Amino acid sequence: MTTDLTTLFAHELADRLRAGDVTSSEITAAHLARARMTDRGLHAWLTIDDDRAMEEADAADARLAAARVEGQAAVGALHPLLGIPVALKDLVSLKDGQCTAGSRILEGYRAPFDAHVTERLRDAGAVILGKTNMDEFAMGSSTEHSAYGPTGNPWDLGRVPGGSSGGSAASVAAYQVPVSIGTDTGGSIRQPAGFCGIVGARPTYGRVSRYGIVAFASSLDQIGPFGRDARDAAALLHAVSGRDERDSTSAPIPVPDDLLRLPDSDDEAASWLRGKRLGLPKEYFVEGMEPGVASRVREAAAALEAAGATVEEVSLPHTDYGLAAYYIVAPAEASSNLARYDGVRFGYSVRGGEDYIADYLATRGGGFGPEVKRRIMLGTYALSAGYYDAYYLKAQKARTLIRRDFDLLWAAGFDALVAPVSPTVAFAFGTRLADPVQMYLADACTLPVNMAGLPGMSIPCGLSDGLPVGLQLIGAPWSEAALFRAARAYEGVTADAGWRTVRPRDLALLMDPAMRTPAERAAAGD
Amino acid sequence: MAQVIEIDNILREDAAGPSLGADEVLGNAPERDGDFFIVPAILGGG
Repeated sequence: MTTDLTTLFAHELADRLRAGDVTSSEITAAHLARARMTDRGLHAWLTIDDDRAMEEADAADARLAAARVEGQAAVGALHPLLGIPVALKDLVSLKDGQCTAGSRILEGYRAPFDAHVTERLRDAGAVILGKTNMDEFAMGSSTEHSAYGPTGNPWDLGRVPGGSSGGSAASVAAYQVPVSIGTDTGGSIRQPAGFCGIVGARPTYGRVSRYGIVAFASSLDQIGPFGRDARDAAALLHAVSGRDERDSTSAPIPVPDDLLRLPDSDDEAASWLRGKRLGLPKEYFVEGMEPGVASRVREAAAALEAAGATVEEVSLPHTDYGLAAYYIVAPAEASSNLARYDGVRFGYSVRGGEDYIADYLATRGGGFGPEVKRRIMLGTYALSAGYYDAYYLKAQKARTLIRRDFDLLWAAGFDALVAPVSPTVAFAFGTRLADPVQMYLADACTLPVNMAGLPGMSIPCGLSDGLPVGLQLIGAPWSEAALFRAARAYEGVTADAGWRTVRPRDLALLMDPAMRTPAERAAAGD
Repeated sequence: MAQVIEIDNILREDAAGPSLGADEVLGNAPERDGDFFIVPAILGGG
């Protein structure tokens, strides 16, 4: 048994676990060791709890042993994530664990309860290794807005991993963990998945309970999985989906078990495409898009067509309003959600000023970073008396139009849309920090999906200048099973493509224990 | 648009259930006095 366990997919680990070739304890120890060894140069993690992880691994091994005694049916009933390591973005509550949301204002805050997704992962028997880095309160597209320093991209340590779920994406791409949890408010799962060359999915709004997740924009936030292939991400989505009474927007819609039945055979997977109708929205090939990105996406569409699908150019005419409307709705909801950080009940607190206003100003002024302050100000202005109708209400109307664009395509019989994830590949540190609008444009192709509440995925579709390009799949509400079938089909169609064998090129640098952290490298200007 | 998914209001039974204990709720308080949060004075000082 000499295979490096960290190189395997979660579904391969699950098979070996059930075959008795390996224990969860061994799998967990291997991933902890790799995460510890390689994270100085990457900074994907904010906390790693070895002791708790090893206890959970022992418990998973005990559950598997008990199921074996009971018989084959009991083993078959175990979730595929039993005993498999998973990472949580640091805005998911894990009882007694620190939960910073990437912000100074929550430094040292320990969650007094588990989020719904954490409970579901415990039920499945997954092993939580720790919490990953992120843009502060999920506001950002590069993870440079983390109060704890940026995360690197394993493909090029001088570039960002995307964001806001950059730590979750980078940790999976760097083989520190096979799967991880992120959240996606405007593209925060799909864009980093694209930048890091892995699979990431944002489910339909209401598919996964938001209970216990630090809120950013409540009408847009959804929780979703990262994995190195469609089967792994699908298994993780399956584990955390479903109705939860504690989130009133959690939908009473059954979780499709088809998520656990994606074909192992590439040919069988590819055959799903025959007769399927896919749309290619022309508005998503935005001005300023890198030619390499547009080429890879069009080549992917051609490959899907060659495998039996029809691909038609379609129009989503209100796409242009997406970015503007999003930057009203999301900051407005954020300004309301973030009012709770008052330094009284939890979190960073400054006391002893002249009066309570002085204390609030010092607490919030010192606790929040610049991007969070910018969005609170934008949102507070948009919601203020006399402006509500002109901004928030108008943006909600634009949202209806955006949603209607998509609905017309579903009504016309399209099975899914294929599009770019982001107009560019991963960009270099510091290149967009000075211009927030440039940073916001990184999400131009993803945020209409959030505005419409739809499921969307990013899957790797090749390289441009040696860096990964993401293909976005967008589906009708509750069509996650079909989206994952399409993603798996694309994997089948491109199973022999040369780019699939290319691994992130800076993985070797991460093995150097003296590697400087991303923050140190950024400070040194290289 | 008020809501992206077409789901009617879902109401739970109006019944009391268990909630977090005082120590868990107050465990993250910057300043605490027994079962109370200490808050900044909000009425005009002397």
